[in-house]
Amino acid sequence: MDVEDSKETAASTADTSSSGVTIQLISKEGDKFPVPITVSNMSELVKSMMDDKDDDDDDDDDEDDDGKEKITEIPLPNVKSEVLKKVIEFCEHHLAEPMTEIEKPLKSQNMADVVQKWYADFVDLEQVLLFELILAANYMDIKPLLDLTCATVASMIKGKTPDEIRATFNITNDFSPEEEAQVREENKWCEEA
Amino acid sequence: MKRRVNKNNNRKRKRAPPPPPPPGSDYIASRTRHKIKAIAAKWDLQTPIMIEILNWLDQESLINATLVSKQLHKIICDDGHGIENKISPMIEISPTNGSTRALLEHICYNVTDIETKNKMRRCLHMKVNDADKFDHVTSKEVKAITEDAQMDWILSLDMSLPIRIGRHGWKHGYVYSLLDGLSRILPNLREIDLSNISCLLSGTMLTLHCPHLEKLTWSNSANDMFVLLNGQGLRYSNSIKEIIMNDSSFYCTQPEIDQMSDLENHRDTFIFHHCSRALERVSIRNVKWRSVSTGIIDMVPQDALIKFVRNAPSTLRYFRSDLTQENMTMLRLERSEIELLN
Repeated sequence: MDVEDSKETAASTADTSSSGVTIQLISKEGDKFPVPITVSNMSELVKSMMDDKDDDDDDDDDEDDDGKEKITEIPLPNVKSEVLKKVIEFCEHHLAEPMTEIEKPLKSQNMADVVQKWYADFVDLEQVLLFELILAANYMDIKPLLDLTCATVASMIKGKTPDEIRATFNITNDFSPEEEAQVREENKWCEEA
Repeated sequence: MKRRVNKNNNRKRKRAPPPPPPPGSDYIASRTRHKIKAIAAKWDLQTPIMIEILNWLDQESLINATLVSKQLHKIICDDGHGIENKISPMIEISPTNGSTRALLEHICYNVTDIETKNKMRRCLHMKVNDADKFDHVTSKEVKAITEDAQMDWILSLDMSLPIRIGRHGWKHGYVYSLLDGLSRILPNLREIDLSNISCLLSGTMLTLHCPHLEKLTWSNSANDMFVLLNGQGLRYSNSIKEIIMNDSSFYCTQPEIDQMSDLENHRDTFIFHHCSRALERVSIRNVKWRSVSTGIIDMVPQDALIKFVRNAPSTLRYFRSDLTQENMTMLRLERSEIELLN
């Protein structure tokens, strides 16, 4: 994004966020989730779609023929309702209590040690939903949510042996014993005394 | 200001809203649309997300992850995938006969051999297994053996034990000998982990030999260390940023603990005041202080913890201690930039 683009985006965000506009996010199942634009703008994807819509609608009136204010609908065909609900919950809370930056590399296996309690509780989920949340955060381009969810998965890897990691994520060991020994050699220079 | 098209000029042709990227699209949040397009052409499905996850891991965890599957090994080890924390192979030392002298001589010999030295230069980290099984050598001998040998490319040393073995036993001097030797050979150490190690060490030797030390991890030392609560032993390092010493007891005198807990007077006397210049993260949960004169052990007073937060440098961002919830609430109003945990 060049400087001019960035300025424009910031200006547009400021303009719309103060206007109390509501956006309808539409999930894969077609469920509609009305959210304030301040919430939906946490998604770079939604924000850029809104920008493009604004460009297209420049010549149009902001009201329908019957005088009602138009409600912008943003289809999110890759995000299930259950996941979208969680995404919105995150964005709403993030506006009220921004998430502290998580330090890299992770300092602890316990998310409560690296981020505020609400966020640690938020990602205390079943693995399937956690991974769907990662995909949604990535797709909707929500950096703090992607950080939180990816760090959570990393916390499930941290401090575990390869066998424990495989068991946690149901991964098959496709190394032969010789290949595994070679990888161990790559990583270490052994001394014995 | 937002770009506006002049309504009187040519009307733009109405087009449908831009379609969202396809499922699992190869881009990562926070990247601009221009960058997204460039990355999408190169990376496989899901790989960027795995990289996002792996980028949160430390060296040890990354090394373990390389052994999980060929796919993870490829992502982590192949250049060009964008792993931020590149794996640096480590030198791993295990005792066979436990001779500290033999180990130090062997390292020194390797350092003088150009070919071996070049191979070892790939390794930025050193790990010692079963550090408590190495025997005792006098300081004079250690100094003589290590005089001409330096591995100044090694940045971290992990001598931690998986669990704490015994307490206050005869092995103190043995670990001390090994630590004395290695710290002489590794003058550029930035990090050291001595967790679960019994060793009557004040820290002075460490920071004298390794003046660039940034992170000291020495949890669960119980009563078996000689680090002073005022941080005096760590004063030779100009850049100690992180101290993790949970479940340990620090030495202190009664008058000094009184001064450290005095919120009205003795402004310059507080926990770690001798080594606080660059502190960023401190974790001293469940720590006690032990009287130098009487040996009596007691909890570090709340006022001493409060005074530390109030006097900590502006660099401090994280403090884990036994501060009560009430005191943490009070201190958050005074030093909101510090993450206080217990």
